[in-house]
Amino acid sequence: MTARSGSFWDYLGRLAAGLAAEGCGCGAVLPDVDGGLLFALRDAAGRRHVARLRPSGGENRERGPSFERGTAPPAMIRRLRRAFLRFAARNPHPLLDHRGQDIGEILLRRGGELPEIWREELVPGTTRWSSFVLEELVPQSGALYATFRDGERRVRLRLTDREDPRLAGAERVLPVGNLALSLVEDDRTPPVRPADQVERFLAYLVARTTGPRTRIRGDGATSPSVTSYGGEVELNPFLPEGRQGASGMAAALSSRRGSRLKVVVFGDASCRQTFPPLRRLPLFDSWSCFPVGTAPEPGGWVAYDFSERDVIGGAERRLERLLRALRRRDPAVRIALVQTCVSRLIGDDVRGVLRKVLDDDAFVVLDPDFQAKDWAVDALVWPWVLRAFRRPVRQRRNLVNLVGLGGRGAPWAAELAGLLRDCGIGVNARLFPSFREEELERFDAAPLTVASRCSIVRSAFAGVDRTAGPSRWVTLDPPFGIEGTRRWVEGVVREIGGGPLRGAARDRLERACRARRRDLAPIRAALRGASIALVAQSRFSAWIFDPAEIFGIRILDLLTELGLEVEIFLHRDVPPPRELVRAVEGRGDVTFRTFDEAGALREALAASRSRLLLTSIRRNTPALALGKIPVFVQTFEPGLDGAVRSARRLAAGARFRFLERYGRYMRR
Amino acid sequence: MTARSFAIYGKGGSGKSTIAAALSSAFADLGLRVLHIGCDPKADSSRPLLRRGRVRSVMGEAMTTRLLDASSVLVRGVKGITCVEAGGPEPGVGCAGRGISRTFELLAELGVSLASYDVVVYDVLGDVVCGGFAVPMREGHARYVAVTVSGTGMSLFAANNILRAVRRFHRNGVRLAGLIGNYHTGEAFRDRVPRFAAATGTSVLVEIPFDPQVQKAEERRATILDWRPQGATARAVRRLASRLLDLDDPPPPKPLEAEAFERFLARPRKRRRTAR
Ligand SMILES: Nc1ncnc2c1ncn2[C@@H]1O[C@H](COP(=O)(O)OP(=O)(O)OP(=O)(O)O)[C@@H](O)[C@H]1O
Ligand SMILES: [Mg+2]
Repeated sequence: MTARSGSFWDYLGRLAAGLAAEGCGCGAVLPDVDGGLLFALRDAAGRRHVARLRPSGGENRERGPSFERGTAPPAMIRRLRRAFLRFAARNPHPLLDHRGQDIGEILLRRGGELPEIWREELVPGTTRWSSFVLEELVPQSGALYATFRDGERRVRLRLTDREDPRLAGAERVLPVGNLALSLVEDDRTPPVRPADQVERFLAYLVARTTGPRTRIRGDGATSPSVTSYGGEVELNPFLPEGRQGASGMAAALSSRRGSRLKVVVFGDASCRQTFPPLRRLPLFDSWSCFPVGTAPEPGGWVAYDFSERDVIGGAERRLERLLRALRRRDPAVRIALVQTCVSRLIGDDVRGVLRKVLDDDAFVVLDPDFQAKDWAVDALVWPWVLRAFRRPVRQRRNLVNLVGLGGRGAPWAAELAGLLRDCGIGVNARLFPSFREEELERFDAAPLTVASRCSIVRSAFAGVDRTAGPSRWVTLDPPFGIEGTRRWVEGVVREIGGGPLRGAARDRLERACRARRRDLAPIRAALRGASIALVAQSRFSAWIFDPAEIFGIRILDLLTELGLEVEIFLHRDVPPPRELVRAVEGRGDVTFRTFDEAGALREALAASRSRLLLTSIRRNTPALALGKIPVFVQTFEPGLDGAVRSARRLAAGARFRFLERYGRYMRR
Repeated sequence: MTARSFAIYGKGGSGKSTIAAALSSAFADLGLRVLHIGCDPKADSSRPLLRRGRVRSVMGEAMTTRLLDASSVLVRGVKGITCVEAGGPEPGVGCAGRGISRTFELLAELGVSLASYDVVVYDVLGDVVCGGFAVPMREGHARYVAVTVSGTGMSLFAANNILRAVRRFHRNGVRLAGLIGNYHTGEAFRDRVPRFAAATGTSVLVEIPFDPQVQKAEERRATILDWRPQGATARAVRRLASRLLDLDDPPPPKPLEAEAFERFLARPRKRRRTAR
């Protein structure tokens, strides 16, 4: 009898029955992950015991079967031992053997044959553990991936060397000698019964068929990745794991289940051109250029990381494979392929390949030039995204699309929708910097699209022909701060044709604003007298006063609403921005001074009582050295609750005294 | 002792491969241990040095297997000459230049030591089209560069560009050995070659006339040296070999600037009338 002809699970069931028939009180036999066997026993008095047959491989090789008794009486174990040997002699099973002890190294070649040692034991379609059937076994990148399936449930395990760097982040790892099993995918609902513990079976099998010194090695090919970030991450077979782990945008680059749009970055995964669209990073991440919150947003980014092989031999074939795989997964897939420097240097015929696999309207090739500005990719991709998913739909009254306020998962999304609902307006679709396809499909159902007034949104949607679509496109100041949010809601109501907000709706909005002002009051009280410095050192840093450059935030209004006094330091040569002059006029909570050189600024800042400092520089060492707490534009969130949260952050910053004392040691 | 290394550059079709293979053969005849490296995606350089079969190119192997080992890309040819071909992508895809530079990295990774050879001969593709093809020079692999020319305007133009690359890499220890006049496309411009050498501060190492036996040798998969050992071409190649071995420290070349080059081509050639 071989493993091929019957499942080991069934065999162990028979073994347990056989042992029970011999009066051993054995209820079940289970494999242990180190190659041992566990026996569930019950003695005459009905007490439960567990005995363990040590794996007799490796060091124990010469000793023959030896049992760990546990709490069981010695006589019981002696009987068990005899009965077990008898049964095994009569019903041999290859997995009771220890083989492969002398194997030094298992070489896994990508696309190559499976190692001889498992030819018998691991047969896709045949090998089973209880109701799980081994579906697929693929060697890749120095690892062996085994997928077991039971109906809808799938478990994917990876066998690697124990030193494999991929194990660093893995959650469940079973060491087997020098090897290790880790869970890559798991659809089982916990707690997992032994009958479903395929990893137990596989670990046992590996332990019995390899030696304690066996190592596993691959030919360095690429492999599926398992990086996860904000959940729902799908395997991306086209990015070598090492790279994914290495780059901070690992997750952003892996494709997520459920999105029909895949943005294929064709070239180096860390190409800077791939950064700008990846705006679903955490709120305080230095790469985030947009306050999107930490909520996971649908992405669908597939980085096609070039290997040396691709650069020299061209990557067309591998691209075709990628496209076919994506298409197989979803016949309606939409591909935006972003070219990178390398891909253009080698000059692969990407359009030809795309056309071979996809219909013309299912893809777009984004060709930002070599020195692409940060928003070049956005300007290319967003109009297409809208075009690719928009469907002709009947228009419905009182629906609005929101552009530039994040997707459905943004922390403020529900609140804003609620405020509009109170005015009888429904949110139809949200777009930028993330989106859901089902929302885009019905984009045209809304007669009105409200975009945030800021340059990033303007650049991203510059190519959208706003008059062509049935949805009227208007631009409003985004809802930052309580006042700002109120104005925004009123603006939306006005634009949708409801005229000025009146009656019950108006009352509801006022009530909501009042409630938040009440929440804000104690924070404002805590902030009393605290102030924040805004510095424009040159013409180029005057952007902090320009709402268009900071997501539409009117920073002076917002800061004072949140309870801060503002000190402005302006270089003498910087003409005071109009916005600023208007805002400062006749206001006691805003002071204004000029300086003429860096030393003077430092002195002025040192003397100033502002503890906070608005900056765009992550490690603003001069500011830190002066004991200032850096505040970033990303600190501010839209919406009423967002305003309260922003104020809390500022208050926490103002309370933070550490830098005042120790900041000067952070000079470098 | 480290190997003496020579790279043959020159315009496409000017006879680099023909001469390089014959040269390797001549070196082997002198009892030297020779490594012959073809740095051309065509991977045709060592063909005449092998009686049968082909060298499996480094790139070809690297593309198809990940486990490259030296024995699969180093092949023994006639007279014990060791042959390597860089190879590269199919025409029209990928980056052949990167393939060449990768080859050199791989050879180093595979532990191919130049120290175990007396001479290394590099046969490089056409002009120096991009950085990749300059690798034999740039990385200090080849100490001496010889340039094949036929005397036609375009062959001198290519040579002049190669001289620029040599001058650039002079600081890395690269030296211009000189020009090889190869007149298989005709002798009409033969007189220009010594003049060009003089104008650029170099010399003509050897002059090879058209020799119908070269094609015959090619068809028999032999170098001209082994096909007609006593012919004039074989003698010329042997002369080339000994001159190359005698080289010491030639000064950096003085390639012509664009205008000067045009003037050079425009100057009337001396024996023009008599040649007609
Ligand atoms: N002296 C010669 N007499 C006759 N034929 C010659 C001579 N030198 C070269 N040839 C012929 O010229 C052709 C081109 O030569 P070869 O392949 O050596 O040039 P190459 O410079 O290596 O070309 P490529 O740049 O394409 O690699 C060959 O068919 C060769 O036989
Ligand atoms: Mg050639």
